[in-house]
Amino acid sequence: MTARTLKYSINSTLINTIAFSGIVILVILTVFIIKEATPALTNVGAELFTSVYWYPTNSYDPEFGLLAMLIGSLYITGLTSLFVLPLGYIIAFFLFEYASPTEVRVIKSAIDLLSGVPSVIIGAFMLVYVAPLTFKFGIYTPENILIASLGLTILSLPYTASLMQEAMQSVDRSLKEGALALGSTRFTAGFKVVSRAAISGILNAVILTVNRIIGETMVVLMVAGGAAIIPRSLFDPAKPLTATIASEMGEVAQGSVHYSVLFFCGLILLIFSFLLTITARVIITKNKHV
Amino acid sequence: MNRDLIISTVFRIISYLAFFVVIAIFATTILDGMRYFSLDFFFKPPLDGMSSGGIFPAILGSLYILGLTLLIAIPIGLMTGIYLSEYGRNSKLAEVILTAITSLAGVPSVVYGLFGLALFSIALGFRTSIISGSLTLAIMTLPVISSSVQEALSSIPRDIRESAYALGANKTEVIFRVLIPYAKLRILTAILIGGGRAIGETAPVLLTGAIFYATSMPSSVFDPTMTMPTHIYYITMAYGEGAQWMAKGTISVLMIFVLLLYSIAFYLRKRMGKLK
Repeated sequence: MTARTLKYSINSTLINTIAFSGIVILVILTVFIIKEATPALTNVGAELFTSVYWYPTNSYDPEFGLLAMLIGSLYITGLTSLFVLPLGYIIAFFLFEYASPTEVRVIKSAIDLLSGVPSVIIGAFMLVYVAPLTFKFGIYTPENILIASLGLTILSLPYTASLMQEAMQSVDRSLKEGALALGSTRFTAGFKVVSRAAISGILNAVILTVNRIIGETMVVLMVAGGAAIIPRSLFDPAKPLTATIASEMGEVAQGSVHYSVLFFCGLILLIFSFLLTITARVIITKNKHV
Repeated sequence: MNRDLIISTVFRIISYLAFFVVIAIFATTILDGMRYFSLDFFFKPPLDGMSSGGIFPAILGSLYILGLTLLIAIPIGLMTGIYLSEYGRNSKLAEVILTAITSLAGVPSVVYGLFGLALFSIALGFRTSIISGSLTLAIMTLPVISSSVQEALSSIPRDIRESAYALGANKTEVIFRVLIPYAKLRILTAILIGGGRAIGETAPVLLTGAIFYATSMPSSVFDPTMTMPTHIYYITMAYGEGAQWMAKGTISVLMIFVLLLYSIAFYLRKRMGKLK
């Protein structure tokens, strides 16, 4: 065997083996999260989903109800989506349809750079510079759902806007030009023709954005207020699942029920993310065959 | 026609507003913190309950973790990307691998933190350490690098591969001597973006590798460390007014660092656009 064929077989084996690491990691990750979360189900059971009482450190009668956190997560995700999806669409539409090349370059660069800003910096920015302003409006706590959702909007905007813009750009130019030639306005061409043709890409952007918001940790950990109650207004504090994990994991005894319940929170998040990712993939692949 | 004018004006105003908010965030976070820059700030550890001194251990810790993360993630990401583009094109197996990678890309960072905690810190006994944190971040960075490598290689024109084969090169020679060098700028861009994301990650490092205060520098990868993002988190959440200046300074340093990585990445991407 020459050195050259030896090198060839080593390299091929390496590539063919390491390629599996993605699958292996995914399987191990899922197994570990399920394994550590199982004691929560056997020890606490249905109370996890039905109780709103979260007193994990009470030594006589600890309560492990996740309902308030689950609702907190969904509430914040819903509110943020309400802000960021239309905003992202408007910016993507502007860049695609109306902006001059200079405007595209400048605004796109800013948005691209924003995508690199770490979430802890957005969280700290909201906490240090924005939250104190809420006192001026007579809101009783500076850390609340609204502030958290605004922070998450800033964080996910670049993602939403660029995915939506890509979706619109992938539509064949002739569609848009045809509509314009038939006398439609640029808005009608963009809204009724291009957006409709790009609908699968836009839906994909929506789903991936929601997935990113629901799993985001630092912003909600820093500015959502951290109170495990069912929120009644925009100015109430909340404690989403992600924030619960990050704030309490440092203090739990390894192997305790509390520890396991935190892994169960992780399992809920994992299931959400798998469902959303798979839905997005199905939408994209289905559309490819059409 | 009139309606078009109104809508375009409204959309323009909204987009400009968003743009100015972004610029305001950059300017505030960078400039406000820069007031505290000094030699001591960069080269001394925190003193007197974070009220004086600097953030040297946090900067060093972040660089350690970044370096080790890339050291692990680059080879694995490269090989996976090569496989997807050059070996498994249109095969069922590649489809499965791609689905796995896409699913990994969507997993929330705090779940990676839990996983790293359970596997590296507890099951493998690495405890809270640089190696636990880096392994966790490497797994998070893997999808970013592998999908970019795949895209970069797949977009290389056929005739380049075929000329190399015609000259007698075998498959791995074509990959490592022709395709990788050809796509090196795009791969570098992906590495910079993956690195920029890894250095700013907080939640996974919080669970696997970080402590809020270290009196001594880590002596091996099995020691825990301070990092810039966790330092920002701890100070803003748990310290009084007297320490807030240090959080602002750290925000500024981290921001400049990440923006620098991203700017280089986008500059390279633009330059490639012009080459073609």
